[in-house]
Amino acid sequence: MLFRLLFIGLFCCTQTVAAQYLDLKFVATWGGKPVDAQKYYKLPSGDSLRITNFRCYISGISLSANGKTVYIEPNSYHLLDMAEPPSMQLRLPNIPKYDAIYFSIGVDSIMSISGAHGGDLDPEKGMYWAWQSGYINFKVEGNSNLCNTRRNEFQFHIGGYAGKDNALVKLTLRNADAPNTMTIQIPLSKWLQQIDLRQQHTIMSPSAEAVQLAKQFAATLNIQEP
Amino acid sequence: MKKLLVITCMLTTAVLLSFKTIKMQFAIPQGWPKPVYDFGKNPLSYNKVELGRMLFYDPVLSRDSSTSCASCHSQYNAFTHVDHDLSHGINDRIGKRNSPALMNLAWSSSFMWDGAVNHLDVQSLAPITNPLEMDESLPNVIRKLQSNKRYPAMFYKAYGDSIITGQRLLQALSQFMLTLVSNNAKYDSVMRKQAVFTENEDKGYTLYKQHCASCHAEPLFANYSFENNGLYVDKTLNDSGRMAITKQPTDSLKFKVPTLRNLKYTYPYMHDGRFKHLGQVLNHYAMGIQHAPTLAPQLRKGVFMNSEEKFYLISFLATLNDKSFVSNPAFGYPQKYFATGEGL
Repeated sequence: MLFRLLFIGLFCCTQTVAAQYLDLKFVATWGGKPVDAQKYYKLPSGDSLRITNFRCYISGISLSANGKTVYIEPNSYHLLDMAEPPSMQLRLPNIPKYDAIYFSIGVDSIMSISGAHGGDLDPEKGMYWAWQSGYINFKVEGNSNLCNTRRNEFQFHIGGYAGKDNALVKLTLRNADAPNTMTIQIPLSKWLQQIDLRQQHTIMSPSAEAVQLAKQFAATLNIQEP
Repeated sequence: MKKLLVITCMLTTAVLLSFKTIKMQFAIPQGWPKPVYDFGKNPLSYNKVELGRMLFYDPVLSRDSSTSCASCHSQYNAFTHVDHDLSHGINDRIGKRNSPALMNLAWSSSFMWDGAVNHLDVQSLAPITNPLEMDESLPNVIRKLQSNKRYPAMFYKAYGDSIITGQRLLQALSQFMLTLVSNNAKYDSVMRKQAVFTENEDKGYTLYKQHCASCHAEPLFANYSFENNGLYVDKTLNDSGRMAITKQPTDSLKFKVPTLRNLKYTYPYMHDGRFKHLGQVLNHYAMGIQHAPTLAPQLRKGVFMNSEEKFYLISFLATLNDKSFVSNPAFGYPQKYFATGEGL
């Protein structure tokens, strides 16, 4: 019995030693390259656009191996901000071997209805709607000659937690190699080119349109090949 | 070694005791339901309530430092803005609804006339950032408070360090607002068997139970549901109420049921402040009901009362006026924290 316990103890120790960290790097890209907030990008139509602001909540990160959950990040809410490079990188310490990563884009309904939170969820971050409660899951802002708006601005504030307007999207990315560093590409070029900016340039409240855009957004994310 | 241990123990006890003295217990009045607000997540303390009170009365929350929460929610008026039909913000900008009276907020499950806000902690964001109200941003308020000569010390007292965050600011405001409990009207004394209704009040109480209680339920005199009470649509506002939030046609023209407490201090009435007198309100229920698919079923036939009955009902409603609430110095302008001429 004692021997068995010792064995288990040893086994646990080796497991801890074997455990690694995982650095998750997020990159907002245009045509495969990191977005430059100063630059106007040419569209195939000859029109152009610039992305001045990209901010996004990543939450509920977990890992699985062979279909079983092996790691759940506690208090998992992260605000990515293209203008603040350190925010685009997260480190998960002491993780076991995994072959898939799960996370959500946005903030779940529980946090959306339970008052003022701190850290990345603090309303001072500008990602909480003041006039109608709820988090903005992600923001993409910029200018394009296609938008017949003040200063040719487009403003996508995508959020909503209730009922049909729930814009939280869960996604799974598989990577059998279980690397220590994983770069997740957010190809804004793909997402924005699915939108007719002449018609759709300003979304600032929960709606069916917002839910649709959130799904399209999540579908573009992918693991960048090293 | 032992000595050190004893000293450590004593110090720990002293620290614990010093915190204990500033903790506050939220008192639920006898016979009232359990509050909706989760005090476990934001436990009341004297220093946080005082910080919230200071912020409530400080115009620094507005863009041009002209308008405080108390500008539209003054204590003399049970924390609403008397004699203005619509709210009144900086630069004399006029909003689109009547500022609501603030009381018994711990029992409220949603905020605003249309329930747009789902938690007291995030309620203050709306007036702070609304261009027609305080027209300010939370990060800017924080910057102003950081450079203010008093606030870092007040945050230190409240939170143990002087870091000012949005969460702390909002939760301190909540703490002050949660203390605004009105439960000392004559009605409350009668319920506690410390007083009795006059004959007229008693008749009015019976009429209230018959005609009003299904929405304005005791003891809060509101059920916090959303109802269409048959008001005609003011074409200058075209306010669809709750439907703007839920997008459900079944919520068209519905507004939150307000409390009947402290009506003496809170006129004008309704979401757009259209009625100045209670008599007008009763006349509306008798003769003014506009039929619409979402009209509250209780109002389909109107609420008819003869003039005697109206008099009795108004006599009863007067027993819901809580003078101690509008004069309690603990809820008032915190003179001691402001220099002369500052605040409000």
